Amino acid sequence: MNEAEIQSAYEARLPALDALGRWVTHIIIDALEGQLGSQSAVMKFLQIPPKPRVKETDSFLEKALVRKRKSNPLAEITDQVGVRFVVLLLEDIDRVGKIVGAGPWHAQKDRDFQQERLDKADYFAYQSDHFVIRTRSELTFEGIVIPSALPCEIQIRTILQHAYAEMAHSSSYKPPVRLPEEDQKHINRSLAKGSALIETTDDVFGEIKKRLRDFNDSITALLVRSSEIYRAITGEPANPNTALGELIADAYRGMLKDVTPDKLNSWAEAQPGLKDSLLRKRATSVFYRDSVVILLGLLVTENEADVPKYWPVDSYYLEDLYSTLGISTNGLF
Amino acid sequence: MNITNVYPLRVIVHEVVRASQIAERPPLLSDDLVVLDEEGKALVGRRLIDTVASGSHCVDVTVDDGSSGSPFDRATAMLDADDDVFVANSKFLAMLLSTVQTAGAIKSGSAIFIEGTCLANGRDSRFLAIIKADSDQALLKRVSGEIITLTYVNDMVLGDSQRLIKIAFFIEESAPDGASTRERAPEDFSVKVFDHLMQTSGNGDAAAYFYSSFLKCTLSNNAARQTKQFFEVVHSFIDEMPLSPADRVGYQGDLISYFRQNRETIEPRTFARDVLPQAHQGAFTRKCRDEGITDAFSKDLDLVKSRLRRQSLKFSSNVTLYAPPEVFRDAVIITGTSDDGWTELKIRGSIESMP
Repeated sequence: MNEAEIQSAYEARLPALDALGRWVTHIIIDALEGQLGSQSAVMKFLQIPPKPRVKETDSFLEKALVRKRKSNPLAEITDQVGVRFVVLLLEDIDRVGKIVGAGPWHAQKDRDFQQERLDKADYFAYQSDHFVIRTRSELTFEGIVIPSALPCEIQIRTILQHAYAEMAHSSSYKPPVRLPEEDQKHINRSLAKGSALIETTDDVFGEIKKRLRDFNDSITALLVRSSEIYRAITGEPANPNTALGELIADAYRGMLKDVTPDKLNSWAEAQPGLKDSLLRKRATSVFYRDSVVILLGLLVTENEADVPKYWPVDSYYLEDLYSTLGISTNGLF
Repeated sequence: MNITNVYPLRVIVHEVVRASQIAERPPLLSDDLVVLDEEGKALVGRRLIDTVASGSHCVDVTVDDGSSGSPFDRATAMLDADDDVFVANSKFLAMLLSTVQTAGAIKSGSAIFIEGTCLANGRDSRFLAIIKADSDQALLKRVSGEIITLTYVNDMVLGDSQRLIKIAFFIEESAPDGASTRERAPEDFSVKVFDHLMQTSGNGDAAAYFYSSFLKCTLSNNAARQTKQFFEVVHSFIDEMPLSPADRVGYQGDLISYFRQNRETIEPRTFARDVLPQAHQGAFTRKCRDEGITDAFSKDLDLVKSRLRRQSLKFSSNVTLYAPPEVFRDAVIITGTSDDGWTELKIRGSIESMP
């Protein structure tokens, strides 16, 4: 094919490329919504709204005929349409990557930055996961026919990697002007330093996230154990995972770090009057049907002077719990 | 003592007045038990817990007179009595309370007798509580449509203020064997008393009439031992607090001052609030509980008085500095410790003699 033939063939497929980009984006966002629960959660998860972009004709021709000459550019050039997913954490990249890998298309991972990190252990540069997907067969999306085997490039990176890529793009990856060699060396060195810093920061963010998640997991474990204990004591089901439970757990985050599920058990065993009180009070009070009373009971026993200071709702309920546990409210409320 | 699950079973209320008023206005003594609804029972239970449970200012007393016909005998007999005897004994005790109300700022009020069950240190127990409740004034809020009205009430009892309550709590430690008519021995009961006058005032008479003249009890004979144990717990707690030496000396001085204050009872939680830095109050209450100190006790300085007389500072070099606590606070300043094994102090005054 000559240049004119390639150009008209490429221009003919522009609507299909555009539809492919939107279809791919739609499917990935849909899957994320399934995992994260809501559209707003997806919008929070994605740091930049993904916008599929079709390669402009001249840019395609320049790549196909000049820069990286291909014998069959329409099939071989994979980034005719691309979409980028920018996330906060490295672990989020895996989440999107798995969705891409399992999508209704042929997917191939072109760049795997985790692998590249190991392969070039002492080299710091652009990091991003790239997938190339191709349609398995002809399909129609929003009234437009997309032919079989049409490629779309999907990039997945953290927002820090994105910042690096934007910087590197303008200074080395595709330099608009060529700098004197000495200057370019300095820039390259600085970019490597930046990349190393970004890799470090991404790891640090991951640690922060892990710590937060570990703490949340530990609170969830406490609430679950509270429910089990409640049921074991009363023979009745407690209301688990309530908004009240979360509110109370949130108010006492500081104190909860010293509490373990086993501690809850030993506490409950040392409360001989609890069964009778719970059975009596649960009949008339939703507060006593909530499993959080077990967790709260332990907190009150251990921190009787401090619990009232952080109590998030009407103190009537807390005062009543003090009486239930045989602790005088004298001077505390 | 850990007291939970307080459920009133029988309740009766009588009027009590000052002794001098009995002739001109005899107090009304009721013949009928009071019927309380569930919310009323819950409120009474809550007031009892607040006044006698862990963290309250209630103290142990020892029964001096447990003989037949004594207040102790009349009160404890009510547990097994039929309703007629229950009413009769309560009337007798209410009248007795009026007759001993002779001195001090005593208001007329009500004597409330409550028989019920509770868990005392995890054991099912029966109790008899005698509450002297002063009447309080308040405004009763009523909402009718869009209108809120406030109506004056001058006879409200068992409101939030503990200042308006005196209480004697007889908890049965061991049940009678066989015939229920047998007289009960003081050893069968744990007796607790709350009177707000005991926390704040050194006026023994005012505080004593309720537990002593009325109930024929004395402050617990454990008091000296409890006082010493508490003193030592606090002392070691202050020693272990992460403080600068100067602050530590300050808190030890505060401890001595607190014990020397004019109060009849000490309650761990209140002590923590009054003396210790806020960040350590919770840890202190936990330590007390671990040491078995959950209740207030009447202060008896017999076993600690030598330690209250002077505050001391002992150095690793065998030098010891003594001073009366009130002098220590103002006249000794620790200016710093250095790593070279020397401590710098400033002492007010000049060297006067070397006896």
